Amino acid sequence: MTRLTIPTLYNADFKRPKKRTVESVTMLGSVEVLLREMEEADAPVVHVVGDTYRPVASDMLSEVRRYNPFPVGKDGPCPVRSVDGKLYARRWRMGDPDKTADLLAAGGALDVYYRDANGGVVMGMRKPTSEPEVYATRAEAEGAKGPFREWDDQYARTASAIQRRCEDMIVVDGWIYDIVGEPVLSVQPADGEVRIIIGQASRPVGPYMHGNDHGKTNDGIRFGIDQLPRALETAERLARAMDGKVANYAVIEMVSPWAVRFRGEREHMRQVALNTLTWGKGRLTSLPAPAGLAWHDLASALSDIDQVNPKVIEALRRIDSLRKVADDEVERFDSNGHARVLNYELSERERQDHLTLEGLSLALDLWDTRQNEGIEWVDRGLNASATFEGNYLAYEVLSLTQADRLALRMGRSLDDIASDAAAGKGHMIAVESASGIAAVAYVSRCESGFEVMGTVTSHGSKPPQAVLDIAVRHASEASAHLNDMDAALDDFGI
Amino acid sequence: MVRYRRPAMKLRIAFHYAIKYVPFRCFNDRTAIGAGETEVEIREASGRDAHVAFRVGNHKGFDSYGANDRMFDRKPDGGMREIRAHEGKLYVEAENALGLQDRIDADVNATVFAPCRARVDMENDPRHGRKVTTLEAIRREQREPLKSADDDKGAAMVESLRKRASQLLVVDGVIYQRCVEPVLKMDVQYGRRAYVAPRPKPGHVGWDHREIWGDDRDALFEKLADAHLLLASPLGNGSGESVEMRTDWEVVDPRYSVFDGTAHDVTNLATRTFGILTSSADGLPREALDTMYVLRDALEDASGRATPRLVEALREVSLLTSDVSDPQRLKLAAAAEMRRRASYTYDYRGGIAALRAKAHEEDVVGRAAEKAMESIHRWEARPGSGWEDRAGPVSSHRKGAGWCRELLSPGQIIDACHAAGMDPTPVLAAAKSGKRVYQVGDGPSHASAHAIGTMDADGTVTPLGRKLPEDRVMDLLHGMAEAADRTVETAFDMMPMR
Repeated sequence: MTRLTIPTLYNADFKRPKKRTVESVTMLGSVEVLLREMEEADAPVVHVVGDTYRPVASDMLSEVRRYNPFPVGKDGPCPVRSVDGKLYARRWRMGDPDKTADLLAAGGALDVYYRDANGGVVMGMRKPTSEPEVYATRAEAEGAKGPFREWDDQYARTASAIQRRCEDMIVVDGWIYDIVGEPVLSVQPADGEVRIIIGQASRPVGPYMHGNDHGKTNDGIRFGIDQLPRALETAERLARAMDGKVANYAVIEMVSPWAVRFRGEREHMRQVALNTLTWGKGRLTSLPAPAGLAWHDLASALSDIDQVNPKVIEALRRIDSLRKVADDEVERFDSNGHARVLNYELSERERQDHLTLEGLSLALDLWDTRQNEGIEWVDRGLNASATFEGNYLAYEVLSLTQADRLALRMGRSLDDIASDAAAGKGHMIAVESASGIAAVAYVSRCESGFEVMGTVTSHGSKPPQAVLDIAVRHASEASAHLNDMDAALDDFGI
Repeated sequence: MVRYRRPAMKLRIAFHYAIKYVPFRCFNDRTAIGAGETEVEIREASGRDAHVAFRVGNHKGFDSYGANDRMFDRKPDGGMREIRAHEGKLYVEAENALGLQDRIDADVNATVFAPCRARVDMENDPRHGRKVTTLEAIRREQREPLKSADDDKGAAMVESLRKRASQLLVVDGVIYQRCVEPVLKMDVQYGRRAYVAPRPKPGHVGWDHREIWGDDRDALFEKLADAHLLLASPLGNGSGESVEMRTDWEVVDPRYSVFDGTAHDVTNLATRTFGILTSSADGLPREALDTMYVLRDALEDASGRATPRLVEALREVSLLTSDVSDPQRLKLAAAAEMRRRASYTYDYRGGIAALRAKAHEEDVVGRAAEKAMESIHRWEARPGSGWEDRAGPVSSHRKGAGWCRELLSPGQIIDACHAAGMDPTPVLAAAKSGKRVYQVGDGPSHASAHAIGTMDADGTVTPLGRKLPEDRVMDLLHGMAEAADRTVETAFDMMPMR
């Protein structure tokens, strides 16, 4: 353990005698934090990657919001270490404790929002801007401002938030490492060029970072960190379509494929499906009938839970094959005055974003050529979107990323809940209620239908029977659809 | 040869008009009242030249119709109003010519010249204290020269009065004013009331099936000669609720009772059925969405006429039921969606479940089916004098700005011939002998209708009317025939994707 004393600014509210107005002053204090120190063997380096596009974090809050989690420093790209399935990226060198503390305070690492014990959002550090004078104690502040009748300082909350933030950091070999999400390649068409940068798969998964969106960059098409050739190929295809060039800002020195568990096709397909949904919603009355009906099927498949399933893919394929016809039809109705009469806003830009520029075809091509063995098991999935019953919603979990989020929400580790599913031992069904995840159940086919092979809950006890029932019902209804289809095919003699 | 000059009634009309000026260093203009006088002539016709075509009389004390409908009211003495046909146009009895000059001198706004607003009522003027003046007087009053002044010495008002006079006719000492064909109008929204009203404007219903707004929206129309069919139909007395007759009428010359009320009403009701479906198209059940497309395409082909294809589509809509297999599930899905929408991490895009639940709750499908049923009832009350059954699945065609559609009733033929400036008699005779008649236009709306074409049973096309180049007419007619043939050939290939 490394002990540091970090200077911190915090607010204090006060009221003057006979006054109702709440005023505040900035106070200067210090917080003592402990950083976990680890041996190199316990925290192996899994990736060495860097992103040269975005600047290194500065001390400005706006910079922090889009900070670069994998900066390329003087020593080259950023090593990423893995501890208990969580990833940590190298940040600052430990040296003189006082200097390191100042560095942490000034470097923006603590300048983010945290959740306090009650779920409220508090700010860790605050830089004085308009008010230069700071005080150490209430007496000192009263000396400057006159007597107070009420006093409420936020030291305790600020200190605990900073201490908890520091639990997300480790010290290895004289460097401070901060928690990050999994590095991924992100292909982003923007400003006449197609950039490849390195982003995070999801927000950092530390226990106290949940719910913050900072550092999240999932615009563009994302790929696993080991898929650079595929990312380049896609970027070139996009660049050809938009008549731009490819700019690769990703520096990849080392990647351990066994530590990669992100694949972006599903997420991208979901995004494209939602965009297509929006595209069709406004112009439904002017689409040709087959395209309109395909849109309806897409909406049905997405309506319960926005998750890619075989029905979504099938509907998107139909829309893709009709895309040209659909655009022509909208054009024709528009020129007839339908657009004016029926209040369509046919925005050329919007259409380009969603359906032209090979958007839909590209997503389907990427989907058809995906390689996600051991990371996603969509192909083994049930042909169903979701099942409702009472207050419960049951759906199938189809990827490690999704399972990872579930594990986080349940306070369990990924290995607890997903190892069986990744190995193909049955369908992993999550049952949600209004208050959270009720259970994750493994359901597999037996002679009399489906049965629950095992369950995981956040509290470790057995879930109620209703939860097990709905998991089984979800699986059996999905396969009933399949049986119907088989029967229909039998009728045709196939 | 001495040309016979028809006698004319001369009237002197003193009028007020607006003088506009902008004083020095001012920005806004001001209006003063100028005075002028003019003489107008009203044509006279003999009772033989202008024979009586209709006699109508709406009952007094009924205030729900507008100024245009009031011209068909009973006369102050309780008698029916005569409508005369003169040179192919209709004129309705307005007031007695005797003493008209005196009444004009007293208050021109209380006479047939009221639409011109030729007199300002100084006593009840909201801008109290205005008086008749001249531009010279204004110039004298202003200390500095006027920035600008606009005084036409009443020329615009004189023009307006002359135009109004040209719409009037004197027959046997009675003034008649121009009117359009009187038709029976039946309000169905709040109780059923029937009265005589001018026929609705043809531009209201058209190719782009625009909706009708105003008080014509919830009314049904039929020409007076066939009005009894509408009154006896399930939409009239057949509905179990008797129609309140607010009028009496007599058709003296049926040649002037031509309006195709069936086409107008069926199009109106079908457009509104379509409107109900489109208002929540994204929340419709799949079957209803499919039917909405069928109705849309039929409506586009119908282009203001009632075709068998349109009626078939409406029948399909009327058979829709709003049964959702599991309404409870819809509610749950909508609730879950609302929950996710409330959480800040949820990326809200569609809201489809909520839309479907809303469409189900509002019973969109049920309302559309009801409206479609109305239109079928209206179709079944048609006079039966048309040739609607001749129309195949494709009976209209568009190419660029040009369009072409088959005419399916005598009323449509007469209207189209008027638009093309032709005598309808030979075209009507051709239609009765089995030829198919087409209307051809080259412009954005039906107001630009220009030519008529007929087609024999063997496909020989004869263009009539001179307002459009002949090759253009032939081009559109052939395009129409080709489109119809193509549909017949490919009907089996075009299995809809369901």
